[in-house]
Amino acid sequence: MIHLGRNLVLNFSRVWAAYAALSLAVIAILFLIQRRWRKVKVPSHLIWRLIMPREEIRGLWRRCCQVLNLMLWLLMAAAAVIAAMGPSFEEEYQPGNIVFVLDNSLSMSLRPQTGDTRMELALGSIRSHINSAHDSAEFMLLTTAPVPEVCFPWQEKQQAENQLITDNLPVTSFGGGNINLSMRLAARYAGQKENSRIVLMTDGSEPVVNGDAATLVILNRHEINIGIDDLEISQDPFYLTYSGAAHVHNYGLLLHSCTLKVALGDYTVLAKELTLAPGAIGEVLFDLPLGRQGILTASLGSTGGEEVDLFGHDNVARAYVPRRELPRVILVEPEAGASLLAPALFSLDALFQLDKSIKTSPAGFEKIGAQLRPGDLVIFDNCAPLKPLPEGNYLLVNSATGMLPFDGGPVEEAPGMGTANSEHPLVRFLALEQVHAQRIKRIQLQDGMVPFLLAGNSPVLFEFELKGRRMIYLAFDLAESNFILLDSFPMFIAGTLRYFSRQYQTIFQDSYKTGAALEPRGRFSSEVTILRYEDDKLRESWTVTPDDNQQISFTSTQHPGQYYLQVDGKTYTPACVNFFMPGESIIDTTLTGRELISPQIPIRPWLVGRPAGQWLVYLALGLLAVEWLLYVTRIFD
Amino acid sequence: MKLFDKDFLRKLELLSIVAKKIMRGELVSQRASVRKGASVEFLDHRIYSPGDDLRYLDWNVYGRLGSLFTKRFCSEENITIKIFLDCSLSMDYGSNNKFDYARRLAAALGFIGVAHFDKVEIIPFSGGRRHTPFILFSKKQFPPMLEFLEGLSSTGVTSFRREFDLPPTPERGKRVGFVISDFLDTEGYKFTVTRLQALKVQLCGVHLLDERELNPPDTGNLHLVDAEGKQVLSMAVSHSTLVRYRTALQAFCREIEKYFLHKEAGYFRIKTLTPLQEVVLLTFRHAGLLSGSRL
Repeated sequence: MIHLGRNLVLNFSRVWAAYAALSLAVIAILFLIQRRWRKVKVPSHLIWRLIMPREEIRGLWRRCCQVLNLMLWLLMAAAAVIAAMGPSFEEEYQPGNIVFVLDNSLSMSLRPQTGDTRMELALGSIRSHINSAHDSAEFMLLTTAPVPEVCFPWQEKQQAENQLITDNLPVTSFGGGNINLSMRLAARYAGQKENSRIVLMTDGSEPVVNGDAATLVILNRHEINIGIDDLEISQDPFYLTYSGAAHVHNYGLLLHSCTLKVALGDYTVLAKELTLAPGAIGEVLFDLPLGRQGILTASLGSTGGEEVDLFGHDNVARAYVPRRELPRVILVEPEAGASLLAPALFSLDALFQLDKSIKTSPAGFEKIGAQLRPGDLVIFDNCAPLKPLPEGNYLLVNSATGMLPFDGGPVEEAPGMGTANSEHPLVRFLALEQVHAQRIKRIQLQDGMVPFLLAGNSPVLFEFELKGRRMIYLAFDLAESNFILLDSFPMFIAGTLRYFSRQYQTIFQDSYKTGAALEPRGRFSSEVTILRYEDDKLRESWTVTPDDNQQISFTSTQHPGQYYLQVDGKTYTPACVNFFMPGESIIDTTLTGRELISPQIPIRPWLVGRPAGQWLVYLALGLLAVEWLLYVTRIFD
Repeated sequence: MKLFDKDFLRKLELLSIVAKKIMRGELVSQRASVRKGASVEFLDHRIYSPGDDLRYLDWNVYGRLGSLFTKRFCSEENITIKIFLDCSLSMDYGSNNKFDYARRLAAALGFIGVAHFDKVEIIPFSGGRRHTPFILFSKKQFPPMLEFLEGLSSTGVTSFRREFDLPPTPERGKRVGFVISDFLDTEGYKFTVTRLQALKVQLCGVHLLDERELNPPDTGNLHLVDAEGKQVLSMAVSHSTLVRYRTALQAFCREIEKYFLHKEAGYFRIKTLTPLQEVVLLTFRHAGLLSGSRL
């Protein structure tokens, strides 16, 4: 093993091949033998002396060439020998000291569906971190509830393992905690060691509410690289708030199967949302401009995605998420530019990397509507469709109700707003009570309409279905409200897109009886959609295929247990429950503690090798080719 | 050293060395001479004078012309074949030793000469030592000639000027000279040609070259030891050096050939790899140096 640099090591897998280095000596000896002066009898010097002057001139050049030739052969042999030794450049993984901040609030004691509790999962993850770390790494554990407390101070690997495994560290769950203070304390301890990180294990739920988001966030302090005094952490959902400072250049957050909502810049400027694949571990890095503020909101979320570059205002964000086909937004408005909606949507366009954001007049919509894809969102702003709409997703903003299954009543001025269903994934986390509209349409609530926002008893924002068309109706003019100025508005649009991009929204029950049917609200994207159950007890798999009516019928009583969904050949894990209920989140109970480890704190062997033998073989072959070329061209003669 | 087999000797007997000019010889032999004699070779007619031998009157001419003429016949004499054999150390070289080859060639030429009753002189020469020429007149002396050749050894350096800077000899008669050498003397061969031609010797140069001399196989750092002077020339010899050597050697050979032809002397460049029989029976014959039609 040869240390080449600070973290770079050259290692050999077949050291015995070093004996082949004797070939170098053989080559040198052969060269010297070849170059030795030999006595050769010639009949006369007569002819030789005729050519002697020129040979003397070329003598120096020839000697240089001979030495160069020797070097070439030695280099060739050395490359071959080193290649035979199986060299690999290995990077020394820096030990990395870790301060674990364990959220031991009461919510962590919940047992999501089956398996371990969140606390056990988190502890398993901590053990995996410690197991995989280098022997010289040191660890520290803090708990958050009821007050930040050091469970064990900086300890070496073995001792830390003992604390966690042998000594069975008595970490109990308390109600409530203070993550913010714990993180501040952790940052202070992290400052005591070089190359230290803070890993926060939390479910993001505080206090615990049934159905609340279960989130595991692993925070890499060195990726974040911000002063702890500038960092504020709030709760529900998990917030990391940064008030700008000059040394901020990088922001990193690792999430498992999450939807990451990002508000960059001032709170009111823009909200951005990224969607990461369930089960996938994505890396999101944000370069925050100086003097700006940022909010990171994390919760579990939906599926799909692709590599996107986000450019919004002065902020640049980059996300790497699995590829998927992103929805389009089609804006239909009577007067181009007359609405406040367009610029807001174009900001979203930058955020979502939408396929195509089309702004058109009502007259051209028929042509565009024929090309609607699942997941596309058509927004009618202050206008009504002239003809029956094709099947698709629609956001009707203050549209006329002539072709809708309800009547718009008299306009009510300056109503007071109230949230009807704040837990609905469409409006979750939105502060809709802050919305003020000058006038609203009074609409009679019909069957099948799901209201999110009410003005008195009148639904102001509600969802309904109409013969395959999924619609959200907003009963006031955006230009006459402050909704579009709130940071909730882009989040609402983003949530709408995500909400409509789902295929199903019926969440599975615990069991289905024979003859029961699963009726998805949306259509399958293709006929190869298969729902496969695998009973975790019987280890039987069973496949259901939607029938012509897009229903999944159960021919026997089934316990969902472990189940998978295959759509277009792609298999989704149970975490894809969000595929059915986007916005709702559930921790992936199939992941073990080791799998929950963030890639930002890589679990890898102490040395990560990159074999270099083949390149040396190529080098040797190249030198051989050069040598052959020199021989053929006789340049060295 | 068994120089020849019987079959080769039998073929050699059928050959004779061609003298391009008819010259006077020393002894009566089989070659036409400028002298008038009693051979069967008719020369011309002469008006009868009293006292002439009546046996030589040409009665046919008398019958036609009515005048007496006597027939004259040319004399048949021998020629002297001088074979100058280079015995310098440079000749003792090569995979097919040049000196051995030269001795065999000299023996063959000598045998051809004595087979036709010519006088053959084998004159070894080298820079540092005087050799006694061997002279033979008949085939009976052929075995002693072989012994003489076998007894020769290479010595000294090639120096034509020293060897051939001799005072004119009172020799008379036809003389054909062969110089068998590697001619490794830059200017000396010119002196030889001029000198021998001044002595009325019909000259023919036989330039012997060995394969190792033509295409030296050795490359690398070499101490080239001169076979004659034992001097050492150090040189890094590469393939391109050998190419230049071959070019220089060819130029050297061409220069010698050009000079011999300019002096109306014969010149043969012979590789020692070439079988001797091929040289004598084909090369020399095709070049007109030897004659013989019954082979």
